[in-house]
Amino acid sequence: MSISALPAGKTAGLRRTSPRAWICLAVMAVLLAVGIAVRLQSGDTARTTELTAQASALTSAQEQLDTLQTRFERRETQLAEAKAALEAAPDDESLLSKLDRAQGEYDKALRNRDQQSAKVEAMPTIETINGEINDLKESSARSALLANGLTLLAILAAALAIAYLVRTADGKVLLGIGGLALAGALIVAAIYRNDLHPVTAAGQTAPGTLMIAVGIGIAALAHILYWCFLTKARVDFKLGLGAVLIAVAAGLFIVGLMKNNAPDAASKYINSMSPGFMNLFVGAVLLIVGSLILALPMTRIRYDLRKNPMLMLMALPSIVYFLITSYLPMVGVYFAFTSYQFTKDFFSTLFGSKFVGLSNFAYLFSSGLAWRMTFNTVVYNFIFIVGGTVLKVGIAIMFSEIAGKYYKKFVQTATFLPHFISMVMVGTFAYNILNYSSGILNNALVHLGLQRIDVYSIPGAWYVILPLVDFWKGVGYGSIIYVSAITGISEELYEAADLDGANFMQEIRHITIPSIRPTIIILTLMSLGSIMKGNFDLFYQLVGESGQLMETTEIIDTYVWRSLRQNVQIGMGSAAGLYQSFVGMVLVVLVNTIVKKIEPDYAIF
Amino acid sequence: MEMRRKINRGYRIFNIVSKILLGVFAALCLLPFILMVIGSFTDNGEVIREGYSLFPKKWSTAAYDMLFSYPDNIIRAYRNTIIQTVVGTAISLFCVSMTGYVLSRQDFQSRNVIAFFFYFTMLFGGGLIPWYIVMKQVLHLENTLWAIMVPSFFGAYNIFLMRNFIKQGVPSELFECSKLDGAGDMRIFLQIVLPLSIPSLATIGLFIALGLWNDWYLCMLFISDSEKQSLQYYLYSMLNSAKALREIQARSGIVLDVDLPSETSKLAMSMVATGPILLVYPFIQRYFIKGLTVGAVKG
Repeated sequence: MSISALPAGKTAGLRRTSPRAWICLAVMAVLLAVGIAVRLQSGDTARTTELTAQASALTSAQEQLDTLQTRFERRETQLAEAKAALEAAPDDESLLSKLDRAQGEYDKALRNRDQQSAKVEAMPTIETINGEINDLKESSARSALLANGLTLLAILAAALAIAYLVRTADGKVLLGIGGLALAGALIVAAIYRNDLHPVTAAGQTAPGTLMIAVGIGIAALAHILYWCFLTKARVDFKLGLGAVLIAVAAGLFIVGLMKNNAPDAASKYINSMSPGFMNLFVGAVLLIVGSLILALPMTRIRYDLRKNPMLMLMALPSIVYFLITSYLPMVGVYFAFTSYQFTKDFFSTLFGSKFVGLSNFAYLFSSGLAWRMTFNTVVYNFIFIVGGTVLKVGIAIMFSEIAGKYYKKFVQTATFLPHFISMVMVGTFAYNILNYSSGILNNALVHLGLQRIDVYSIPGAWYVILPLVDFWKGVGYGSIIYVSAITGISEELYEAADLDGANFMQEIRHITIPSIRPTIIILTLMSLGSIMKGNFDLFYQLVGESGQLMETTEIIDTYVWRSLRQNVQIGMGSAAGLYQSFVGMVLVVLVNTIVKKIEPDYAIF
Repeated sequence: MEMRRKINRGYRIFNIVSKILLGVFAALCLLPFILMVIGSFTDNGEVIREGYSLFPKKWSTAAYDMLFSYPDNIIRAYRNTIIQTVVGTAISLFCVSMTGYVLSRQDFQSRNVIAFFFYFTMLFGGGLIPWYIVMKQVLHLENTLWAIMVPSFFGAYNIFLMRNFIKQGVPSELFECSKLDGAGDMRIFLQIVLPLSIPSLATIGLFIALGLWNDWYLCMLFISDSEKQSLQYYLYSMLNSAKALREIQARSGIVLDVDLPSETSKLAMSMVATGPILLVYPFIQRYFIKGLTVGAVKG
C-alpha cells in the first residue's frame, strides 16, 4: 500500500511511513521465523516418539521374558517330578511316555526363553533410553525458552512497528486492514472452536467466547485507526486504549455472567464467591479505567501535576471521597440487575449475586408498584412546585411592598422559623394537630359541633395535608430569592408608571411580575428537573409506615427505604432507585437544554 | 420608595391587606411553637380529656419533672448531637473550603474536570441502597458517629457555593501577589483565603451545622446502638415508641400509668430538643438569607 495510491486530499498533511516501521516489521518477521524454526527443530518429536516406543517395547519384551521364565521353571519342576516318578516305578509305560512329553515341553520352554532373552539383550537398555529422553527434554525446554524469548522480542518489534505505523497515513490503513484481518481470523477460529466443542449444558460458556471478545476489540481498534485516517486526525492512543479496555471489559462481563448463571453455578460457589466473580470484578475495573482514560483531559492534568502539585494534593481528598461515597455506589447500581445474595464484603456481594437481567424492573412495572409511586412522587412534587411558587411569589411581593421596618422584621423572623426545625418536630406538630383523640383540629371541630375526622384513615386527605405542611415549612424561607429579585427591579420603571397614572395594582401586574418572570420560570424549570426526587423526611415523619395510606403516600423514596429496611428486597429497591436516578438525570438535562434556550445565563451547564 | 408608594392610588388598601395576610401567615408559622411551649406546661389529664388549648385551665411541670428526674438519656443524646455537630462542621468546613479554593484558582487547569467530577454526583447517583451498602461494608461506619458526619464532609453544593464565594470575595490578583512573595498554595489558602472568607464560612458552616443538628435520618439508618443516638432520633423514638418513655417512667419511679405525663412529656422533649435552635435562631437568621441569595450554583 503506497501513499500515492490514495486520493491526494485525504493524505495531505500526513507523513509518509517511516522506514523504521518496515525495519521493525522485518525484524519482527525474522524473529518470529527463527523462533518458529527453533521450536520446530528443537523438539525432534519423532525421535522422542521412537524412544518412547522403544521403551515400551522393551518393557513388554521384559514382561514376556518374565512370563517365559516362569513357564520354563514350571516345566523344569514337572520334568524333575516325572524323572522321580519313573525312578520309583521304572517299568511303568505310561510314566515313560509322560517323561518324554515333559522333556519335550521343557526343551520348548528353554528354547523360547533363550530366544526372548537374546531379543532383550539385543535391545538398548532402559537406562540408555531414559537418558536420551531426558537429554531431549532438556534441550526442548531450552529451545522453548529461546523461542518464547524470540516471540517476545518479535512482539516488542511489532509494537514498535505499530507505534511508527500509526503516525502515518498508509501505516494506519495497513494496521486497520491487518487488524480487521486478524479480528476476522480470530472470530472464524472461535466459531470453528465452538463447533468443535459444542456447549452441552445450558448457560455454559462457549470455548470461543473470549476469542470473539478479543476479536471484536481488535476490530474496534482497527476501525478507529481507519477513522483517524479518514478524518486526518492523529491517532489517539487514549481513544484506542480506552475503547479496547471497554471492549475487553464487556467480554469479561459476558463471560462472568454466563458463569454465574450456569445451572451448576450454585455448587461452584467457594467462600460465597460466585464462579464468575473474577471476570466481573476485572471487567468492572477495566471498564472504569477505560472510561477514565477516555474521559480525562490528560494534557491539563499533566500540566497541573507539574505546575500545581500542591493544588492537586489539596483536591485529592475530595476526589477520593467522591470516588468512594458517590462513584462506588454508582457501580452498585448493578444490584438492580441481580437477585441479592448477602455476604460480608461489598464486591463479593455485588458480583456474587445472581444476574437476573431486567426482571426486577419487569416486576416493578408489571405489578403496578412503579406506576403508583411514580404517580405519587410526580403529583406531590407538582403540587409542591406550583403551589409553592405561587405562595412564595405572593409573599415576596407583599413583603417587599409593605411599610414598617419592625413589622417586616417580625414577619421575616416568624416565617423563617419553620425552616430551621427538624422534620421530626414537624411530624410531632402535625400529629398533635391531626390526631383523632386529642388533636387540635378535632377539638376545634367538636367545639363547632361537627364530627371528628380521622385523617390517618383517609388516604385522599394527604394530597392536601402534605402540601400544606410543605408550604408551612418552606414558603417563608423560599420567598427570599424572589424578594431579592424584586429588590433588583429598577425604581425608574415605577416612577414612569406613576407619571402615566398607573395605580398600585397595575404596577404590580405590569412591572413587578414581568420583571421577576425569568426568575420564576427558571426556578420552576429547575424544580421540575428534580420532580422524581421525593422528600423522604416529610413523608416518613408525617405518614410513617402506615399501610392504610400507602396508596396515596407511597413515593419512590419511601419504597426504596422500605425495601432496604423492612422487606429486604435489595434488588427491587435498587431497581427503583436506579429508575429514579436515571429518569431524574434525563429530566435535568432536558430542562437545562430548555433553560439554555430561554436564558443562557441561568443554565447550569 | 416609601414616599412614592404612599401617594399612589391603591397602596393604602394593599398595605393593609398585605400586612394582615402576612401577619396571619406569621402567626400560623409561630402557632405550633407556642402550642408546644404551652402544651408542655399543661396538665396531662387535661390534654387527654379536652385536648390542647392555648389557655389551659391547669398548668403543670410534671412533664419536665419526669424528663429531668432521669436525664441520662437526654444528656447522652445531647452529647452525641453536640459532638457530631461541632466535629462534623469543623471537618466539613475545612474540606469544603479547601476544595472550593482549589476550584476557584483560575490558573488551575484541571478545575473544570474536577468540578464536573463533583457535579455529576448531583446529577446521577447509585441510589440509597448501594450507598448504604458502601457505607456499611466498605467504610464500616455502622454504629459510629462518623456515619452521620461523613456524608456532609464534601457536599458538592457547598463546594460550589464556597467556590463562588471565594471568586467574589478574594481577588485573583491577591493569589498572584502572594505567589510572587513566595507563598505556597496551602499557605495562601490558610493565611489569605480563610481569613478573608470568614462570613462565607459562617454561612456554609451554619448550613452544615443545622443539617447535622437536625439529622435523624442517618441515625435511623446506621445507628442501632442507643449509646450513640442523636437528639432528634431520640426524640423521634420517644414520640413513636412507647419504649423510651417506659424506660424513663421506670427509672423515675412513676408506677401508675395514670400519673405518666404521656402526652405532655412528648412536647417537653420536643422543647428540650429544639430549645437551642430557637435560642440562637434570631442571631444566625441573616446568614441563611445571604447563603440563599448568593448561592447560584454553576457547574
